[in-house]
Amino acid sequence: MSMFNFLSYGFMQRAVIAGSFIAALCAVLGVFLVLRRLSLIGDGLAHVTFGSLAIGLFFNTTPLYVALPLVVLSSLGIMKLTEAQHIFGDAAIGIVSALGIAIGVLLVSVTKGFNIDLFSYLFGNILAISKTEVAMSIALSAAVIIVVALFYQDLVAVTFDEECAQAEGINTKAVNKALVILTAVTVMLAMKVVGIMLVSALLILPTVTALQIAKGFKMTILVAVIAAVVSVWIGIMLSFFLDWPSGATIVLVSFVLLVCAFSYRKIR
Amino acid sequence: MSVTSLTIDQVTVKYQVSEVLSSISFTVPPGDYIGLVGPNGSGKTTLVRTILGLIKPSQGEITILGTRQEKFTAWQRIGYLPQKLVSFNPLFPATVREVVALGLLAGKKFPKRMYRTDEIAIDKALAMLEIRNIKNKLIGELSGGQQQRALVARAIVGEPELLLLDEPATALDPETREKFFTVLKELNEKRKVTIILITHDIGNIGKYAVKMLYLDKKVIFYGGFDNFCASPEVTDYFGEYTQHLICHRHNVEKGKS
Amino acid sequence: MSKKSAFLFFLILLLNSTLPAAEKKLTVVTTLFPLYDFARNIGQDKVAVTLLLPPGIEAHSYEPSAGDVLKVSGAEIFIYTSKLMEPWAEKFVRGVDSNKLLVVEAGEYFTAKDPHTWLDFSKALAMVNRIRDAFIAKDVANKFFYLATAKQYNKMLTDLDAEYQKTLVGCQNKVLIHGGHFAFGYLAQRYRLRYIAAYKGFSPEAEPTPRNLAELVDTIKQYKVKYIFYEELISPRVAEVLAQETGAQLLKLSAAHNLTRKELDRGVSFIEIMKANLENLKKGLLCQ
Ligand SMILES: [Zn+2]
Repeated sequence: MSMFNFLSYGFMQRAVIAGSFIAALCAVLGVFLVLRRLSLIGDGLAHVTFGSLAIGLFFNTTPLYVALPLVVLSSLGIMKLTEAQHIFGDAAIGIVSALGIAIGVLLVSVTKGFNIDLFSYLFGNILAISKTEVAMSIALSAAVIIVVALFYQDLVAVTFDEECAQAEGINTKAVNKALVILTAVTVMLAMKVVGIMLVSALLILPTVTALQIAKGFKMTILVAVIAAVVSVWIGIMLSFFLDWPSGATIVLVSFVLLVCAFSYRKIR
Repeated sequence: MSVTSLTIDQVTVKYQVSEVLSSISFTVPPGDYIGLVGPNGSGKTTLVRTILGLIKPSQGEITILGTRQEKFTAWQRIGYLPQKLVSFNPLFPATVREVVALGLLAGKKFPKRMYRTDEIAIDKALAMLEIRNIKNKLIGELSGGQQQRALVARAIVGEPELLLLDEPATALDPETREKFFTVLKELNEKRKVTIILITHDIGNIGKYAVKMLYLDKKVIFYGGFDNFCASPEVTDYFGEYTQHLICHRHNVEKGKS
Repeated sequence: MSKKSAFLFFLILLLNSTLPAAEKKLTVVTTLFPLYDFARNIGQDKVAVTLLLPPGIEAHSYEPSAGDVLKVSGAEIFIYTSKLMEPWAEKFVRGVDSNKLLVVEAGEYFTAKDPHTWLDFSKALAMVNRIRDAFIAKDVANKFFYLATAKQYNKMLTDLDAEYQKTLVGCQNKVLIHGGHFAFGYLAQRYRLRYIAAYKGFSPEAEPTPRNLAELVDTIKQYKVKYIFYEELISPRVAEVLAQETGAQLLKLSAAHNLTRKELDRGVSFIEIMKANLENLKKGLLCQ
């Protein structure tokens, strides 16, 4: 094994490619989610996925077929709860995610066990990405980024000031729905590719980093995407040389970038 | 032109069981400048939000620029400035320019792109409110007055025919306020923009507006300011003393200018 | 509080009532499947054995439920492998309030690296003996029965060991590549195989490092390994990726911590699993 041709390994190439696309995807969605105080939705939906998979296994069907619609429904539920005005975004996420875990735990216990370990089904690993998953990551990122680009102005308007956007004739409910559905599909599929830790970190950290230094909304998205992708690259490289787990290293690098951005803002 | 800017016909709005607005009717001809006044909780903001379709009336009919409100889609012809200056997130990373650009969205069809003409419109609006120098600053980093001007620029950038402003001057310092009302007057007189302006400042209302609508769950008074001073309904509602005070102040201001 | 204890009492009553009153069986709870199967074979109809772990659940980081506490407090013997294998069991059993309960640590842990003692059949034999002794301690009346059944079972283990020895001595390939957690250290050691697992530790929840995987890929290529083994129950992502990378094929190698629900319903035995493992090892390591 040579230290400097780490990219000659197929699994490392796949980690870099799929990782970069998923990072960019999470960063773009993250900007809208963080600004709408829905930054914990990644974790929340992961818990819902756990419950949904348990339901899928309970009825002995392909878990993904049950989980995907249930997770989308839950994300709409989170939206509905926040629209109820008396419930803040974080509380709404907490409610839905607690319910997800409870259902999962309950079913695991009631059914007296399964044929597979649920958690290993839930969590992917950035080092164990198949070729199909690379293709899926690219397709998913492309699809979501195109949708965001097409509805960019509406998303910005609704995120900035929902009341004004509504008065301007924008269908704010539809925009909100589109955002959470995109998030639900992304969280679910990305989680299976790179694991929930990376997904929830990449939804939050790059955006917060970008908010420290970016001047303008487009800039914020751009900086967030760059921060996310750079974290993945440096993280994978470092983890190889230091013999550390890659996912955790990427999160650490992402955090270091945030600290740098924060210090830059302070001394400026 | 026979088409009115706004017709409100027997509009009643209920919140749960209590009536917030009861059976409101009035008509706004094009080019009017109306000061909407009334005590706290009199339903001023509710009225504006009902006109915009943000609240559904339980009864009555609203016609905007000749079209029934339910069928109205040309929202680019209307500009709106909400009351809460802080209804947006102060951490929001948009520049003043990006915020003003949002005002052009209503007139656009999918996919909403910005064109050269839009850039010109944005520059014009920025110039009008004298915020061209701060167009690349983040909205969250500005003073209250600057933020307010950016939001007004957003409301007028699409060159609306009807402008609804909910207490736009509260966050402004006296000097900026003066400038701000000059801008509104210009819009009203030169561009014939119909303006409905909610304000607390009943004493100075005559300085800006041509007409006055006094609201307290129902219309107490609607008409020219001179009629306000002579109206027996107003005397009934306010008492002679208050009516006199308001009118006296108005006359003094008038004499000065 | 009184409501809760009344509820517990009711449950215990319910549990006890499921046992036939006529013949009093020795009640035993085990954590993992190998212990369950050993106990079942030694005790036969004299013992009622319960497997604590629900099917399909990961063994190293299991979280016992309130129902588990209830099961164990009603039992006479609780058997687990070792503090290293089931760190949760030791803590858990301290919370069980019962003075008649005999707690048996059946396995041993000499090296900190591998707690899967049952996969070395000579150590499995010792485990069987410890379980036997515990049964005798609690049920002297059937001493000779337990001695006989344990001897019988140990004979099966000895035969199994001999079969492994005979088969694995003639393998072309001596490198056992495993896409799972570090479980087959003892087995590899006993039959002189080189063992490389994707996860350095033995918790399947830990993440492999890229260097670790790169080493595996290099080794697979260097020794022209044709087959990679994957572990039971856990989705074999890492093994699949290694296979994709090197063109090797996948074979299952079960460490038998726990069974799937289907296997449990079918009544699969430890010896059967180990024989299936040997078949796959024979194929994967190219043995004559
Ligand atoms: Zn293990």
